Amino acid sequence: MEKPPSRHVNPFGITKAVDLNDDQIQSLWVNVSGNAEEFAEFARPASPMPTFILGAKGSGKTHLMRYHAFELQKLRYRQSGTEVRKGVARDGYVGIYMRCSGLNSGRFSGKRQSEDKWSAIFSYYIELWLTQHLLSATQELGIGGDAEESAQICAEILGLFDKPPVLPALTIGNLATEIRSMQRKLDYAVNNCVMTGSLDVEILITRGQLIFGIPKILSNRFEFLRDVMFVYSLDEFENLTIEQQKFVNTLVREKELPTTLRIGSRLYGIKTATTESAGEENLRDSEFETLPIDQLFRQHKTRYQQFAKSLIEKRLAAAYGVTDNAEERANLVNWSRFFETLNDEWNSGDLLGLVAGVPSKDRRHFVVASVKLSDLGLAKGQIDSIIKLLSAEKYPLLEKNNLLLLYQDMHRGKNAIESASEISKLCSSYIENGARRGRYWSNLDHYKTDLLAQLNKENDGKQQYLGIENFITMSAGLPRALLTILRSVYDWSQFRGESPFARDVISKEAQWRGVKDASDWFYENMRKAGQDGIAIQTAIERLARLFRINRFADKPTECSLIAFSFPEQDVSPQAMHILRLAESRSFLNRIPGGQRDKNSERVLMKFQLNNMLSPRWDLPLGRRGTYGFTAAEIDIIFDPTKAEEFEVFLLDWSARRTAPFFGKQKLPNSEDGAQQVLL
Amino acid sequence: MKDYTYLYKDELLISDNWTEEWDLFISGFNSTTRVNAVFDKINAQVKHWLIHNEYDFGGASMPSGERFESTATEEAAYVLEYFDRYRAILTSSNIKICIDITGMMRPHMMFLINLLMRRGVTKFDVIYSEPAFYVHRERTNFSQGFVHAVRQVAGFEGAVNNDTSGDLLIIGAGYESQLIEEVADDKDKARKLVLLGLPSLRADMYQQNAIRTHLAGDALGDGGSRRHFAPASDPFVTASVLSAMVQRENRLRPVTNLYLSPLATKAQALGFVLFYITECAVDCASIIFPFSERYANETSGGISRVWKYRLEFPIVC
Repeated sequence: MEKPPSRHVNPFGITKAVDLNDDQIQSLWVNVSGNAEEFAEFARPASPMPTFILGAKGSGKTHLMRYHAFELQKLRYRQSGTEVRKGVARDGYVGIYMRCSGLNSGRFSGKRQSEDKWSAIFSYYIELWLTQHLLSATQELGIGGDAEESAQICAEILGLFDKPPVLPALTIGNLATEIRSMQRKLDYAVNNCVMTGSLDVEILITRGQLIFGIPKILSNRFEFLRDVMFVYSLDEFENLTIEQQKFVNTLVREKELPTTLRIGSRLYGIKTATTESAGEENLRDSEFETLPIDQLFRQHKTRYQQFAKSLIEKRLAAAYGVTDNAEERANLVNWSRFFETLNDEWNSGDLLGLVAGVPSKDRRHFVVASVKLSDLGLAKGQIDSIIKLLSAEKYPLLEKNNLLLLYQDMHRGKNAIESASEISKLCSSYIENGARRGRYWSNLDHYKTDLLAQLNKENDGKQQYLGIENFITMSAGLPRALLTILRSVYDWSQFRGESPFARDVISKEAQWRGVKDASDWFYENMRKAGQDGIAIQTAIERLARLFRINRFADKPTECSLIAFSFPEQDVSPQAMHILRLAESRSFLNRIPGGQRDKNSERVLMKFQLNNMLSPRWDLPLGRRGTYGFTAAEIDIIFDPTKAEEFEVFLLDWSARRTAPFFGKQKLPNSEDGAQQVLL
Repeated sequence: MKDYTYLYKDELLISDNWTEEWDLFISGFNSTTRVNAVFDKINAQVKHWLIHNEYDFGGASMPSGERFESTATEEAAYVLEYFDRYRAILTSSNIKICIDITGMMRPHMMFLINLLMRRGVTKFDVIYSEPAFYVHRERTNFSQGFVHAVRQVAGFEGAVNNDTSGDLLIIGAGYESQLIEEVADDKDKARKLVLLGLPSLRADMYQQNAIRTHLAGDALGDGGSRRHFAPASDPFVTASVLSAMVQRENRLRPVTNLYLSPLATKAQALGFVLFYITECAVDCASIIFPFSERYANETSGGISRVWKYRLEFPIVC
């Protein structure tokens, strides 16, 4: 790729859909539809089933909903030279997009008025609000241009009112103006009742009459709308109060074809499933479907990888002026050339570089091991023998594996010298033939990322989260998180004088710093304000500390540990409350299906720490091991009042993973005593 | 744009003998020197302390003198109750009122001024005292507990434009990045501008303010880098700057809904009120605020300059 036009243009500078204009929304759109059934919704906005589009901040809800809005449909028709009516008929839908934040819903409460009154007024307000959007789209579809036709449609629409307004002339334009005027009067009454003390509003329409009735009128009258769905897309559902959400849920329940609803909400945004229809709840897959965007992305890793790479390619193409043609772009984008990486194979020179020039016996891991063996009461000669047996001068990762095997044996009560001797043979054999079987390989395979992390840490090296694949994994299904990583990496790369995505590879240092910044951003940005926010962060901090201790322990009990399971029914309500908040704020990701308990056969809840948080505590990105906490342990971690209990638990957790005693009571410091047990 | 700087602004020296007299003096109580020293020094026939529940005072720290207390949790209910109780004095003809906004909750202060104006009190004075310092410098948090709602302030709820594509949010950014984030998040889809206090109350306070605003950079998005400035202690310049900002933004792209959020000094908040009442009351414009459960009662030390601003609504309306 050529050098970018300006040193200061970061292709990933804009991470929010809101900061993109319609043209950018269109040009940066990446299609994620495919064969997988779960992804079908992405490509079928015309489905009659109401859908809740759920996702964490930055999952792409707004981009998706705006892409299917009528404004963007028109843009696409214009670009392709398609006549609007033909385009709509082909698409099979008209997207009517609105943001709930625009309603300023907080004003529909209090002010010395009853909740019932507010409920009626809010539903009337929404009716007027959506009808204006609908009439605007209607006009843009060229409906109402003919005076006679316009008068007939208007008369039909006026018939939907309980008390029709009087229009100067029967035109759709006049009707739209009248509805806007009705809304303004309602605004005035609502806003001023605090001063006047009274709120006397005449409600002229029964709920749903216009928003469901007008599409029916249009569909019956116009051939090109015969198979077209009118889709009300309500974004930012989380901004509505419980009572207001009940009203929208009622619309979902009572919707009439050819109308349906798409509702975008953050994970924590759904406050109720109940409706105003005798308080009944809407049932998933009966009254509505859900589209959990980031969860789907996490489940379909390969598709997400493809989607994410396309997303980045589009950004690079836009910033570097490279053609938008997918094939040409693919030829120009060379992922392996963009980022400096590390060869983490056990026999790679990169790993040897971490301990460059230091003989095995003086390497940090063996120096520490010597002290531990000495604590056990072994003589210096015995210790030297053990270290010598475990040494593999050219392969520091194998030395780490050897030590771990030794600690595992010691934990089982095996003689240390005998164990070291066996491990030495296994190691030599592995170096010789590299066989991918047996205890030695299996242990290395399981614990490789943890051992690499330890090797880095012990030698003052930084943890490596390098390359595009790791960035995508780290983003955990959140495109905005991925863009934020790349934005930070790009900034650091430029700061270091590099020419990212152009002449130079992006250095490991820039990647490391960018990833760290992005991780901190996520930690600060996703939390909820106030006491609950602090409680979430306290719990996540505790959990991460446990995982970190395990990762850097002499004998980790689980490999690549960032996941945990537990029996939900026995956990205290307070701890469960915080855990659910942490999930809704995307600090924790639920693993669908949970985990079956080996003993009781019960299905346990299973979660993992969001990958975006891993660099903050030097944790792995990939999930392998899962720790099964008891309900009492979950209480200690997630109940913010249990600080002292947690510190006790932490000490025990650490001791059980630390050589040479592994949490067992320390024996008197005598050679006899030690040998009695361990030799 | 409108120029508000012709309105009167005077500095009162705390060491001087204050000779001006008012019929009624209203002040929001907290335990800082700058609030209590002014209350003691001012000459008024009647002095009222407004006791805000959000400061969570214990009975022991209550001031002597005429106090107004209420269990009302919202600004409108609180101020209306105060008006009901003191209706006779507040609506007497030609009453000369002075309000010290230094210790008042911003929403209460804004609603009180709006209500006075709507009830025909056309001219009154407003006092604002600057602190010598904030106790925790740039880490000073004025709000405590969590923000339970970001909503329009009563009396400042404008009409709503159905088209939200050109929504604009102007934040008077104070020390609390968390509050800036809450407001920016609430109007996530609006383009955002930041108004910083410069000159600041004290020389080092601008840097402290800028640091905290930078922390909210992600929520502010692109707009976080487009900063505007108005003196932290001058409501009239603040109103003028707001007027120019909105005019310029309207030229660039018509503003569909305007949201104003005064999170910085009370003097700047007063400027937001002045601008709103004068130019926005009939437009699709609102003042929004992140409401917290509690506020710290003592966040500043000492007293620096004391300002008196004269609001004359028949002239500006």
